[in-house]
Amino acid sequence: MRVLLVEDEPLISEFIAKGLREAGHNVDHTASGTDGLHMATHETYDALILDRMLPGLEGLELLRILRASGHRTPILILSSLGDVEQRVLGLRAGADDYLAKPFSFAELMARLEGLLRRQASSLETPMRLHVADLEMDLLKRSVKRAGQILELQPREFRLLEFLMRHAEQVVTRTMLLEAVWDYHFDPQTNVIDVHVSRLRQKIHRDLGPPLLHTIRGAGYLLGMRA
Amino acid sequence: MLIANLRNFAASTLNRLVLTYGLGLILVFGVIGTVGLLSFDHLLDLDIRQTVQVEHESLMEVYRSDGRDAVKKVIAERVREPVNREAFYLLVDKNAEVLAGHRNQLPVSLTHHKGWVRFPWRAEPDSDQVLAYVQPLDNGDLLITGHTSGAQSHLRELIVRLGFLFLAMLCMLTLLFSWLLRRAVDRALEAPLDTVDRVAAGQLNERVAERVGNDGFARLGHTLNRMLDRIHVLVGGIQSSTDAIAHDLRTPLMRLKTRLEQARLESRDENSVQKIDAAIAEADQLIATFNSLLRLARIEASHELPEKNLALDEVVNDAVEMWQVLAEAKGQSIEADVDAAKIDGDRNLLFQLISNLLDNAIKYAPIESRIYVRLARQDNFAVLTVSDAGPGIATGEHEHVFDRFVRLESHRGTPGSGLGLSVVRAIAIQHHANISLENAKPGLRVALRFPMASRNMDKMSSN
Repeated sequence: MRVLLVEDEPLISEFIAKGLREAGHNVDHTASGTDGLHMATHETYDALILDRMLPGLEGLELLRILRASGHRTPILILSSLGDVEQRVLGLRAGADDYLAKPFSFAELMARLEGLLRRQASSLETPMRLHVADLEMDLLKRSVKRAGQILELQPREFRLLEFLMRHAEQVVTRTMLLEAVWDYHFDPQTNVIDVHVSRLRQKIHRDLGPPLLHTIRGAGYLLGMRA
Repeated sequence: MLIANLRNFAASTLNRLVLTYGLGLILVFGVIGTVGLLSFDHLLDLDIRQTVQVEHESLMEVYRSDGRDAVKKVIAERVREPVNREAFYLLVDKNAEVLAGHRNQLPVSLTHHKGWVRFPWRAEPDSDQVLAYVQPLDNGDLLITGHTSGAQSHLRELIVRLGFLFLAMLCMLTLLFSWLLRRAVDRALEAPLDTVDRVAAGQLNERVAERVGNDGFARLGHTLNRMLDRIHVLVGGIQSSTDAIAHDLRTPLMRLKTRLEQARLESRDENSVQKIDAAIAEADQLIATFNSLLRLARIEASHELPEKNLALDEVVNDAVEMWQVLAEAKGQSIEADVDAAKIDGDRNLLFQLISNLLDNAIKYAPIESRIYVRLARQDNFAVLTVSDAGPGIATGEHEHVFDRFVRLESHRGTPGSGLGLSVVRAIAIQHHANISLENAKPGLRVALRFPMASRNMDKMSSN
């Protein structure tokens, strides 16, 4: 995948670029908003990572120009302006995701992969989801593992659905909170872990190899990869 | 609330002022009336005595020159054809036999001594009083010359009645004046107080419409506006410095975190990976506290409630559902009894508020205890209560626990930033909710009274 990173803080951009390259992506980097706009319009990228406060051209402005000229590339905004209102502002301007600084690299990677995956699978809306021997019927709202029906609460169903849609991909706690509970808030205790571990008990129950893994320092992953 | 109290106080001060003034007026009138009445009586008495004296002298003249029979004749004549209908005459002999006069027997009260006496004209209860002079004659007879105060006492009665009427009117005027004054002052205070109410509710741009003139009310408006301008500047200062601090701290925090993560990725030694992980966890805690502080500053500065008619019951149910699993993991359970209630508010912040309360309850309540969550409608309020069976909070600490970074001595050692209840209070204030801590015997009950959405209230009042 080819990623354009527009970020003026050298330490952070260097770290992100290095991390992305290690994960097997191609990274172009610039520190200026105007150069960023130039590169985004003249080259083809799979995703853009955009800082907001940039020399030359402000990140949101860059984003608006790109969207106004018909660019559909997924864009993730990084910003030290992390309030809900700022987030809403960013998403309204056409961003696909918004990450507040300070963030952890794992969170950035998880969200970026989510964006790339969404782009690839946005055309198909499946009625059934499969991960290994786990099977979810979205119409009947039923879940089976190795042919056995699992009894899930509505919230557990939504949690599992999100994990299955992002199978083989790291999903962070914040992503779960936003997607499954649809509240922007700061749980001081990690209540999400308890929900995930309850779901895990229902999925595993001696029905086969573990599918729902905890990724240290990042979040969770559903799939055969550990 | 403060404003309402102030208003009541002003009203009662005004009432007291006007009532004191009215009572003083009535008292002064009463004293003047009484003194006037007494001197009226005195003058009347003097007048009657003079008349009686003249009459008496003329009769004595007759007696001295022509003797007893002549007096008897004169009296009989005057009784038959009175010149003065108010004059009273009586002549009795030493055996108290009436010789002539207005009465056929001696009034009991009369003595044989010379001097002034008072007695009723006739032996009837309502008879006019007679003031008379008793003169024993040298043959043992008694000559009694008197005069009633009939006409004058009717006049006196009339004056007394008028006086009472005037007093009653004075009372009514005092009440009317008190009402008018109160209304006038209320009107003059209404605009500035409403403005202050709105400013207290967060509309910092509101100003009092200044009155023309030079009185206290005009000054009040002017002074309030100057104070509000000052508050506005100070709040603006706090807001922009918070933003600046936020931005200035975010960058180094981000760098700190980046460097730690970089070090972790490059480290090949398990021991240092563990140490770096611990440092990352510390950094995350620092960032979380920092974010909480920023959020708190934001909530305190913002007064917008983005959603009208937000179903608070749904938010409460969602939060209970989320935290129920954590309670169950501790062997506790949350029991919810939630009535539908709509308020104007911000669903994310309300979720945060309920979450912080539930998080605290789960943290401090003993294992296997129950946590009760209630949402009930009371008048025009939605009342949310969260009660736990934990150690509770001593009454003396109640105000204190809402302050930033306050952690009770008994809670040291449990995780937490000390900002949870500060955030709860900030969100409550933003939603115009009244928050109180109560003893749940045992445990703590937190109660929040949210004013219900206005559309709800309309519906209720039209029912």
